[in-house]
Amino acid sequence: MEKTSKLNPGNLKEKLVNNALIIILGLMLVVVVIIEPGFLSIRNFSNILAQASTRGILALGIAALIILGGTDLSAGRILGCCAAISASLLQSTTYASRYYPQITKGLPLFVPLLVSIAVAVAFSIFNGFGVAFLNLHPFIITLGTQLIAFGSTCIYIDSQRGGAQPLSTLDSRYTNFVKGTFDVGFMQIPHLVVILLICAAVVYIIWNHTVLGKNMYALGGNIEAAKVSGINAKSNIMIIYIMAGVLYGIASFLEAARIGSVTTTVGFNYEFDAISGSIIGGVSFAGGIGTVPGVLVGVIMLQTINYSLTYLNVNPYLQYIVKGLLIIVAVAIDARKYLAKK
Amino acid sequence: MADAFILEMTGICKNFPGVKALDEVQLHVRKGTVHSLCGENGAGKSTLMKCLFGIYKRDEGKVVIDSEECNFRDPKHALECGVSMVHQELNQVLQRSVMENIWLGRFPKNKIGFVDHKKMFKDTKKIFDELEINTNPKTRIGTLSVSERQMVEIAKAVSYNTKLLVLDEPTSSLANEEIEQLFKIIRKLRDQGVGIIYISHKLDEILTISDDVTVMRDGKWITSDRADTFTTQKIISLMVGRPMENRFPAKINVPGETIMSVKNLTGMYAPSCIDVSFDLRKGEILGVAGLVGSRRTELLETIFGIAHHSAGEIYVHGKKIYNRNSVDAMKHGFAMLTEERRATGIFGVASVGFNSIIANIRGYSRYGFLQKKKMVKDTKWVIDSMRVKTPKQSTRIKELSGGNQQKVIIGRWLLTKPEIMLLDEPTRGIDVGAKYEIYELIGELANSGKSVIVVSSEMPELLGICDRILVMSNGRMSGILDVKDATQEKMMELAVKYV
Amino acid sequence: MTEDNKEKEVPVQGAAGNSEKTQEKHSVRDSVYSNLPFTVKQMDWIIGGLLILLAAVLFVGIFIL
Repeated sequence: MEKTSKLNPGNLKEKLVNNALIIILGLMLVVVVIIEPGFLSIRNFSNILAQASTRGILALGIAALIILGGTDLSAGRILGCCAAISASLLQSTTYASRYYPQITKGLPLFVPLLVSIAVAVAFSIFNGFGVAFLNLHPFIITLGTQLIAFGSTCIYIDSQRGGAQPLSTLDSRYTNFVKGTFDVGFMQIPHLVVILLICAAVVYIIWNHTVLGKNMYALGGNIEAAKVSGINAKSNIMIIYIMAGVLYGIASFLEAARIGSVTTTVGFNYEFDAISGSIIGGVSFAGGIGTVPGVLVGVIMLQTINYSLTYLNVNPYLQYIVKGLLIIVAVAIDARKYLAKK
Repeated sequence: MADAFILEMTGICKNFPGVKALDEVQLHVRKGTVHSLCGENGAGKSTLMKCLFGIYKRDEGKVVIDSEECNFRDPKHALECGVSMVHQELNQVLQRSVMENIWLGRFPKNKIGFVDHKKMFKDTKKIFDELEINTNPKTRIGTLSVSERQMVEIAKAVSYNTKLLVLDEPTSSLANEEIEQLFKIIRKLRDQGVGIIYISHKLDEILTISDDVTVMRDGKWITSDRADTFTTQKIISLMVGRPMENRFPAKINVPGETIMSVKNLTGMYAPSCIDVSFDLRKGEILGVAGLVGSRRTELLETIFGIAHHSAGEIYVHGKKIYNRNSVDAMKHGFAMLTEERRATGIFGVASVGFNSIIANIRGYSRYGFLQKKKMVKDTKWVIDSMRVKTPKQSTRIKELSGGNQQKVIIGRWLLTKPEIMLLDEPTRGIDVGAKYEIYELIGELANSGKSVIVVSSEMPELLGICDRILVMSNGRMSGILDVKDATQEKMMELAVKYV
Repeated sequence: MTEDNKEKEVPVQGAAGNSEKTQEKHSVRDSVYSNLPFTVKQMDWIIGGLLILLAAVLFVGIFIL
């Protein structure tokens, strides 16, 4: 595989640069722990993982599209739309101003989940159609979808009987399912983390052990070579967009309950975190490169940085600046990897 | 070997607007033989292969593979029918492993429907062992050398049970031992009955490895025979031996004293020109000949300053000069006509007028404003002296014919009053009549005291208009011929000298 | 196919060989990073600088604000 790493200066430098962000995180954690030793607790890590899980599922969807050589700017707004739909279908039946007063008996949880997935897949099919069949650049079509999804969300939330109001007071079965924990010995493992791991496992199998996964890497790596070898670009691209849609639907369903109250701003810029997390985790904009563990590591890392900055009472606006710098560094490292290979 | 044919292409014709790219070409490859295809640039070799693989649709002719008539829709179809090609630029997914690249699009699956990595490895190893290839199927293909990647490509063709394998310039990036290994595999495949078409400019290699040789020239089939009946001399003369018709105007210019000296010029970013030295005289037309990849364009770009040089000097009128960029070059009296006028020459959406005056634009600025009257006058001069056929100055240049576009660009540069003009393939994509007019223009330029360097892939053209011809080979200068002593054979010999 | 159009544009003698050049450029064109005007060494400096900037921002954010 890779050249056997001898600890000579050239190789060491390569490793240093390529993993610069992970190293930075490590250093940052050390600094944080020095300032606030209390940071190092299972509870904090549990929180970080729980926060990261919905973003992680979203990221698993987007990462496949980046590996394919594209992107998806609409993921966040799609999540917002599906979260609104999930919440509206699972508000407490005793809540007077719930969206669907005609629902007097709580729906089985899987029904809104399926609806959420269906809506997300519908948006994704729209994206996939534009990319695969109309040969539009993913940037362009998903930019359009982003606005369509947002508009739809606003109209949906607006159309409540009592006018626009946050979709809240959710069914306790719903919130318990999403925000609950498994008590294992002395640890409390959030359900969200388990769900993330299950999704990650399925996605891992798809990327590495199915023909679809291999095709994805091939199309992203060298679309000409893939086509000449008989890989049907159009159908594969479509299916991968649909796969992303399924993951968006799941993430939306979970996120609605995790937050507890859905407004039109839910989902805003979520794709940014998902994309940044993926790039930090080794997915390359050049296409054809990326792994599931990498995506998870990148997303969790990003979430850790966000969480620790909040923990240290850093100005929340500064967090934006940090996030921005992070993605620039991540892209710079990615570009360098690409240049080094040429 | 049996004399049965694996490939019979007969009567192949392919026309493009205004040009006969292939004229009744034939190619018969016997089973289990290595068949070399020789010809200069533009002889039609790649066009013929494109017709075989379905990238071009042939206008006339028959293609018969293994006694069955075939009409490939695209390279994928050809691959499935046992006809494959290893291109010069290997088309592989560099981020993935060797075995994934080989089985792209037909990954073996296990009972559950998942990809069977073990089987993929085993099947790959089997082919590698047969061909005595030592690469690990799991390595990422991007980390392999070009030679190894090429082996993988050949193994891939074998995995498709290829009956006919086309190798396009396979040894251009290989070292000697790697070439030996390649030949070993070629011979092995040949002995197994695979037909191999070997396209190359390296004539001694061709004579070493081939059983049969076919020579093409100007889109026509010239001859095919067993390799042992050929010598490199004979192939060269067959490749170039054209009759020279009256295609060129009479020579009127007379070269004077030396105006520019180039010494040991080496381009900074490889691949580029290496250690090139020559003199250019006033009123001289110096041709630059060579094969594709001999870096003639890079030589011109380096002289003009749009490519940097890492070594060497340029002297103009005895003074050392350094062209840091095109603006510098223009100040020193240079002008350059680029190779791809559509890409880097014309401003397609702009008018003839705009295209004419644009290089000289600073000359029209007075107190920050452009002097329209002067611009119109100069455009008129371009149109008249270059004899450009255009309805108006405001006509969009895209609507003009290629030849007329080229004339506008030459005229554009003349407005900057250069002393030394660098022309890169000035007659490419232009019909015969317009070519003559451009030859006339070049002659008049030289006659008026300008020095012209002309890069061209058409040897007769250089022989027809130049005073001397500099031949480049693989970035180096292999020789300068006086046109009186030059022949196409000599030029070809020099062109392949360092290949 | 796209290749067809590219080569049809220059359908003259001497061109079929040269059209290989246009094909070369096509395959490298793909990547979003293909026009990046930096060398690997320059990237190292850029990345280093950005990391220092990041550290500075974090420092300011954590300790000062």
